Amino acid sequence: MTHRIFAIVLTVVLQSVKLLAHEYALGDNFEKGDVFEKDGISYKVLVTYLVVDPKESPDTIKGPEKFYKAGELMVVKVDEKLGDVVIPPSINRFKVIGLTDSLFYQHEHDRIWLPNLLFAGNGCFAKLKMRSGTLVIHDIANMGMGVFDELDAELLLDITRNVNWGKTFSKMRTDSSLISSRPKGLVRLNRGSLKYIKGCPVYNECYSAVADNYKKWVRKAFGDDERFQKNDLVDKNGRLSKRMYSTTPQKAKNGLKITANAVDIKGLGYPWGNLSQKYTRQANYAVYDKKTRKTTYYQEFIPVADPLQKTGWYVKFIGKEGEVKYMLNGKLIKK
Amino acid sequence: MRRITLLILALVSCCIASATQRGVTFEKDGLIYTIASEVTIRKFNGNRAGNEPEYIIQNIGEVYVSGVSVSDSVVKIPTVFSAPSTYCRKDTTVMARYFVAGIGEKAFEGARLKDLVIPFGLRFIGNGAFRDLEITNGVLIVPPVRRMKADVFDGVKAKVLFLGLEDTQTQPATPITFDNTFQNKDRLPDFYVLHSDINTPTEGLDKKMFYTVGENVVNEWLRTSWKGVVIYTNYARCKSYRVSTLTASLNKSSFSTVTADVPTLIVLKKAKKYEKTKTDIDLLPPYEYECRNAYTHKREVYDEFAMNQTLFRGRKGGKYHYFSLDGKPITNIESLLDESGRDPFGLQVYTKEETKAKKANKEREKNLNNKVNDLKKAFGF
Repeated sequence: MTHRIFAIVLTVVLQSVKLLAHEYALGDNFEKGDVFEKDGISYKVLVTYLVVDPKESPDTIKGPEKFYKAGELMVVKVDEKLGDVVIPPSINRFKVIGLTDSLFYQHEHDRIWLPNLLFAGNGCFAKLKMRSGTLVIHDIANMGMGVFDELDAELLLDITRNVNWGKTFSKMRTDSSLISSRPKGLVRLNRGSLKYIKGCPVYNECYSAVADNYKKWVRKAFGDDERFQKNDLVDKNGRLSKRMYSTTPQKAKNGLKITANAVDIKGLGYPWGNLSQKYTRQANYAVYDKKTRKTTYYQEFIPVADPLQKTGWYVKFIGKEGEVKYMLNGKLIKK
Repeated sequence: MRRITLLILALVSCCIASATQRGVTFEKDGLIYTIASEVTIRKFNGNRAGNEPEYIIQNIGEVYVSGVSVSDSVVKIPTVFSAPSTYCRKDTTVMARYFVAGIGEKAFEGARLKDLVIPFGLRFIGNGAFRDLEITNGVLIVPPVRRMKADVFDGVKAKVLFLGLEDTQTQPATPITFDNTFQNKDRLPDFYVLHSDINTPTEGLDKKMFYTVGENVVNEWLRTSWKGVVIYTNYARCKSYRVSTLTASLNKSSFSTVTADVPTLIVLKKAKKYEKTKTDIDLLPPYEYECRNAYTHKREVYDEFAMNQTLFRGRKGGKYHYFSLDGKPITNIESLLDESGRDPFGLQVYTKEETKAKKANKEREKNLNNKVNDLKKAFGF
């Protein structure tokens, strides 16, 4: 009997470890430029960088094996046959940051759920037909051109911060002149967000509401489905990584603080054009020396296991200056 | 018996004499109006070149809309209009200018209209004025009205657009007073205001229920909703729209009865104390006249006043007093009356029988005096 219980417990534990391992493994092997498909939606890996588990402290990280690959994704294709399109905020450690050009061009879907995004490409929702009657947009920091051109639905701008509208409500004629380009339906938003569209052409044509009236709009947009009531789906895997790592304990006066991030590559990002073809991002590690209080930026970060060093391992960065190595206490390793 | 009849007739004539136009209703262009006040003023009519300055005597008044007599059509409430006046006149062809000051209680209750055009500058909308009103064009556009009373919009079957939440006719602009206007939350329609108007401070008003819309949306509603009616089509123009009201036209409310050097001056004032008959009328006081008589050197206050090119009349304490234009009192009233016993302003002072009897008495008295004089002459006195 005891053996059986032990066997069951062991099975459960192993299964959990397997699931966790799967969760960790999915996406970890992606490289920049890879395209993969999940649940009818295709993603392109824009950038990868190294992060650590949130539970890890400098005391527990004894070597490079505690670093994980994370990164950013761009949605490049959505299956036209999907009824409800749910674009998740992240897939494991890879965050979904944007939508490519013309992603939903001439599509027809029941409902679309979008996370907060960094960008939406040219004509992203152009000629999209929503069977629910409303398209809900959360925060999208940068918009391309003619994003909502002839959108066959009402547009609910559920925004909470400034948006770079640019030419969102314009499109280009064949003679290269710009004309106004708007959704066919009404534009609605939260009254508090009116200030974010003050300079936008739809300001004089939109409707705003607050409190229950606004909630009614959101509920109606998702057909009173409770799963879609929240503006931000909880990023379930967000807890799996943290971007900042200190090579020494927080209170130590020496050592390095390494923060992983990604930036646009000039000429290969928006302002808009050929987004889906060329747009990519670059890893950017901010390395703060606790002793000198100086920050240096590098494009690559490689934790290296070196048995010859006293600590057993060290960190290597590649930037404009070339290759630079530091000991964990922040001392530069000279060649 | 004859005495009793005369007494009854005298009482009736007294009642007629006490009656004013306040509370009288009449119908014009599909709307029913109630008169709140009516006054007579002497007004300069422009100086014709080379001639004496010309004056006219004009009747003006304040009314409010108290009902509607049509349905399924566009109804436009005017700011000011002319209608026959019976105030202090026997001639009903005399016209008066009436300023529309408000919309009375339940004025449009249960009505079904294609559209309702409400002017700027109204001072009040009474209790339940639009209750269950249906606007088939879909939008009820409400310009700023200084005071909105209880349950005005209950059950309105249309969107309600407020063209502002403050009265811009005053300087500085004053927020609209809402007296329990939105208390029946279950029966309220959707309310809309312009984005820029939502921040107008309004005491005790829960602005969460308002939707806000952009200026282009408002302009579109103005164009489509009030199509075919000569009215504002642009919100920006609406904001700068100024209306003329009775109060405004009475700013210079004093006038003299003649153009002599020492004229008798009449000053028109809002009555401090007045009868309270209906809630809506309470919001609109009647006027009274202060007469500074240059002839008698007295100052009298009349609650009713009338004048023509030769004399004027004032009512005080229910009694009528007649004066020539320079202020000299006319004591021989009978000389002013016509055959039917009416004064020059149409007021029935005596009945026909009374007038006949008085005239006969006078004639008899005259004859008697003549006879006495003849006798005196005959006997050498």
